[in-house]
Amino acid sequence: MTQPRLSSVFIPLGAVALAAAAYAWGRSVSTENQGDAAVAAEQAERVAVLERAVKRLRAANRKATPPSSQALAVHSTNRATASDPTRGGGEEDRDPVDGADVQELHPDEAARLAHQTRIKYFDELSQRVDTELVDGAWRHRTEAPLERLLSEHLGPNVKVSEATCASTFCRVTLSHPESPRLPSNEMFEFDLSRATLEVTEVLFDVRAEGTTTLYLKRGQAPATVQAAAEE
Amino acid sequence: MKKLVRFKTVAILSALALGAIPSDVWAGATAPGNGCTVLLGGTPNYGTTGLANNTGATMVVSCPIPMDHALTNTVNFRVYINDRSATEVLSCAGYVHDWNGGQLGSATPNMVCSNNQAECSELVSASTTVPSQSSSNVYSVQCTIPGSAIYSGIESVRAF
Amino acid sequence: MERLTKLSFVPALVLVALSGDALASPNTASANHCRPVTSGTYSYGTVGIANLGTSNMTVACPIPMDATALGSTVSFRMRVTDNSTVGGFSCTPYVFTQDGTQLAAGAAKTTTGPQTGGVTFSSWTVSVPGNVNTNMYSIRCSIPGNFSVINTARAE
Repeated sequence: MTQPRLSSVFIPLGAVALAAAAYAWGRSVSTENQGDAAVAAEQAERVAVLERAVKRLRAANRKATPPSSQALAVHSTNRATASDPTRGGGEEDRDPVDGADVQELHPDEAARLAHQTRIKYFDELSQRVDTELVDGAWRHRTEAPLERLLSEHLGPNVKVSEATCASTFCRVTLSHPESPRLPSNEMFEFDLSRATLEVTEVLFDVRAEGTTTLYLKRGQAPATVQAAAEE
Repeated sequence: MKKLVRFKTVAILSALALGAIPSDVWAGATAPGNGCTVLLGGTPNYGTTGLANNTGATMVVSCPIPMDHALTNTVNFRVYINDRSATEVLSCAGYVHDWNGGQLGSATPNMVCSNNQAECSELVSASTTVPSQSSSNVYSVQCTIPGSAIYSGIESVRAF
Repeated sequence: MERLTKLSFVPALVLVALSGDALASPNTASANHCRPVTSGTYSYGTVGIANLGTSNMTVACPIPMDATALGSTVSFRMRVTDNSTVGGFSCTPYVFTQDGTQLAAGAAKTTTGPQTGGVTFSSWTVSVPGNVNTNMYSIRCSIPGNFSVINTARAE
């Protein structure tokens, strides 16, 4: 009677302790000098075998993960803003390009995949702006002021080609043929001034040089924080 | 029962695998250009992440790449440069030092615009092989930025 | 009993399922990394940068990061001390590619003019679809004068 109860406690504890010990050992190994070529080669081979096992398990885990949790950032961002503004870290928002898959790829391949992810994301976001029901009141108080602020702050070399606000995002296309990207100093001034509008974060579709499409997410600008004297 | 045994085995092996993998499997770091320090010249213009030389005179900067882990013996450097000068060359070199300040390696060739272009905005790269690696080694890129055209500068430096 | 045995390997699987960057670094950077974007009188402390002038100046505070690719939602945090009864802080977080192209900007966080004291800007997120480990993170701030200070900046 007692033995099964003990096992049911020790087996889980043992698994966790084993994993933690392995983790700590692995981290300590990485800080030592790896000057010994023979040892390094042996370790590399061992690591490669273990890595393959890890990859197989991660692939299986991804397949088992429900599709909704691999949704685009636009859905997870809305969830975060609407229901949990304090959420950070974004582990569950991570799309397949982020995380370990990027780390294990050659940097150029990782960049290529990330680029593909971004294009797909922005194509879908653009479609969303075109198809979602329009909040006329928000559009009225946001679209024109947005165009005006951008023109004021970004200067004559940047033209607003198009500005469309739907109900959750505004899409603004900027043309700047004389430079590959938008000027960061002027964008900062615009970012400070857009606090008067009902938009929060801004995403940049920069797939083409000389053109930038901004997606401004609807939301209340953060309230001004009152500083408090520290005790 | 057999499935459970296999499941257990794979799970334990995999947990050990994750712990056993040295952290330099996920290696390297990218540092913004505005982290560079001026060695020679006036005050640069800083951007949100980059640095530009608008002084009218040549500037030499050293750009550290904070690193918390050991890289492999072959160290690759990449720098995103904006060379706006038609007459002078923006040139960068990558270095590996130990924590005593002793130089272990310098990357070749010098990183400049490719194809002998007079001006470019480009990711340039070079590499070096060091005899031994340690997580206490330090990585930096030193760049000579011409002053003959404004907005020549460094956006980012990377070692991996 | 069998279910308990299976459950005991959940911790092991969790460790495996977590990608390397979940185990590695978010980063908190000293504001000594901050650089002046507009002219002003400033000084660096052991940790931090202070605006010694009487009016606001703008600085950019990059957050050095290692090989980790942060997720598609990046959280920023900044600790500041507002010593001005006239002006206040205005800070915006940014994500840039390695070639200096802006990818995302967060909402501006501000402090009031009259009040003085310490403030932590938090609950501050930015969406970065397709985030890669070569992206760069920075917070740009307008700092009020009178020895107002930025202490630290963090991205995770």
